[in-house]
Amino acid sequence: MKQILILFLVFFLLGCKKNNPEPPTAPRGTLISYEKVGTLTPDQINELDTEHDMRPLMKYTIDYYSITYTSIYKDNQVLLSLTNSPILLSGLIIVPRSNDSLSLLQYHHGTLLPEDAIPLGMQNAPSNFRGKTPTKTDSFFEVRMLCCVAASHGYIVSAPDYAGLGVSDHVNHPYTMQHELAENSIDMIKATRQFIEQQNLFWKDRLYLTGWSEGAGVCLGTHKAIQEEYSGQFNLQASANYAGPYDYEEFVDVIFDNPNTSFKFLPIYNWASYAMNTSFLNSRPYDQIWRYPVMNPMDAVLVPSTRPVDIYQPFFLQMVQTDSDAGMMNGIQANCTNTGWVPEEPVFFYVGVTDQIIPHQITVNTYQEFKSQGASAKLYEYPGNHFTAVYDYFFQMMEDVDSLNALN
Amino acid sequence: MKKIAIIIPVCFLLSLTATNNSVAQIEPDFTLYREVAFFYNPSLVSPDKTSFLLTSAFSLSNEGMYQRQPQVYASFSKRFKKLKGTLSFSYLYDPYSYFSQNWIAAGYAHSFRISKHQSFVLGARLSLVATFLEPDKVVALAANPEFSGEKILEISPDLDLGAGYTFFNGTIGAGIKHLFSPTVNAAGMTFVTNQTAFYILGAYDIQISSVVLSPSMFVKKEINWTYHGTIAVAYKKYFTLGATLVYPSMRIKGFIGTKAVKGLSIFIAYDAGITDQIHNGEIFLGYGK
Repeated sequence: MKQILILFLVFFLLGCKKNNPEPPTAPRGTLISYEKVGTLTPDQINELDTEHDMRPLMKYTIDYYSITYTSIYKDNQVLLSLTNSPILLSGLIIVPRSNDSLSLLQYHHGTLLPEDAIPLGMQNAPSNFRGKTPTKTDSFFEVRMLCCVAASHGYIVSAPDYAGLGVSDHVNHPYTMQHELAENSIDMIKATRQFIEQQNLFWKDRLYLTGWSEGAGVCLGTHKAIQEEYSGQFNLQASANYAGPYDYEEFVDVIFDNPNTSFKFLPIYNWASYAMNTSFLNSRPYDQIWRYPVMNPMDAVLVPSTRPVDIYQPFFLQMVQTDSDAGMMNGIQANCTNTGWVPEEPVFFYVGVTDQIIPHQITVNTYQEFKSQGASAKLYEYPGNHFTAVYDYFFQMMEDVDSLNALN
Repeated sequence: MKKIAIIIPVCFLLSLTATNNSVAQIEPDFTLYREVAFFYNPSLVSPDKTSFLLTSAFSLSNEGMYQRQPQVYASFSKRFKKLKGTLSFSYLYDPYSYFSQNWIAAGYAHSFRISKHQSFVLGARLSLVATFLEPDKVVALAANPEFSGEKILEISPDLDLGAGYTFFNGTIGAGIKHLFSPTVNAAGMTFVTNQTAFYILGAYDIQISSVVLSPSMFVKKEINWTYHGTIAVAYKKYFTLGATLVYPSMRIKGFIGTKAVKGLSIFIAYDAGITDQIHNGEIFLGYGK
């Protein structure tokens, strides 16, 4: 009986989420706080990076800081409207101990599942990195293998957590909502610049963007936003994008056009459907989209079947397939980062040719679209999939960024 | 026993065949599944001569996309000794955001006595499913003049089957609901289908002095397999307290009830997600003599 009561209590406590904090009053992009978390030498980074030898890229000891800053969030969960609310977000800044004039490289992380204590869960948000030996759940793969290495190579690296992760885990993460997340990214850059000024770091005001998967979509979205909405505010040099859902229509059509196919990665596509519903469909009743109760991101991830036909309402699927759901179509179009603009700064694309999570053709098409319109675009295709091509991407990305950085 | 050995696998195979290609809504997910076992399996009738029950499940997270009106289920059954069977009548009101269903059913369960402490029951239930569809409440169709103000009422027959076996203080049963999978189409689109679903319930009561410990499990095959594990503790008839864990949806459910007044059962239940803030409530009222 005692064990049952304890079990009940544990589940009850697990079910309790944090209370929503007061929204910040400072303007968007204000650095609110920073805390030095630790220091890592190249040898220590190498000890953490057991998956791959990253030593060729590492030079400097790094200091890493957890920061909080102000940004915006579409708080439609509560207000049932698409208005932006102020929100406190978090991120990680890594600074190399170098006497050179440094540039800023902002890294946008990929999918972190909407639950703590699971592999690839949201506890791996960059600001939670404490330099510890990775475990199955607390892997911090991207922070260890990519962010720390890029910083040790000689860049100030900033990595936003995004809304819904880190200090803002009381709200739902707008998963793959590229323009919405780009606003978080831009505010992170602003906050990082304040951090650099407050720390009196020696830097040449140059910005590079990079990201993987969901983060690549955010990365290209940030590039677009800087060019179109924040012109003259950032000295953007280039963006380097690895396997992102730039063409969002083609991305979602993977599942909507093949409803009878079994998709191993349907959970993340369905989470994207959930985010679409909350971000631009004004939170339709769940029973008008799904055949099972989807009341939160984790419900969306825990799909009862790997076939779209089993989880979506037939009329919803049919309307999406025939482009007759105007709200859905408009939202999807608006969430594309591959059309309606031509990058003025160089844009690099990297992709594994056997990528099944975000089909590699999406990257190829986006590259070709930009190239045909005269953009300075470059595409690298690698043998491998969404995960196995990551080292090819990262080493090439560093080389590309170094080349541009050396020109100035 | 031979009949059980045949019927349960047949029910199981039928359900697999039916659910693989069907599309649909989900059945009400009653926390107090043991109290309303008859809803899922027409053979699991009340042991009382006459029985009436009324239950309502409702959302406690009534905002935005989670908005939901309460579901109401009622049933009446009467046992006829000469027939060795029980007649029943059931009603369910099941509302969704763009349609509602009224399900009216009449059923019969026949008991085969195996020994003093064992019996086997077969049950069947014929029903009419009245679906009231309002396509203009589908947000995606709101601007479509084809559906402006249109309301569709469709009444379809349906059939549920079940088999149960009771032994000493235990029960196991398997049931299939919506064998005819009633479907409502409009303008070439499928809006509602009652998916054929399969259920297995097993429960056992262990008497320890004045306390009865009742472990039970409930397995559902709707879109996927869902497993409910429950432990309930009853002190005489004064109160019953229980908790259920649901996998893989990871929900925790609790209930408390009393049978202190002769023939009357009153229960309340609470259902919460381990990973979310979605809460549901349930009230159950039963009377048997």
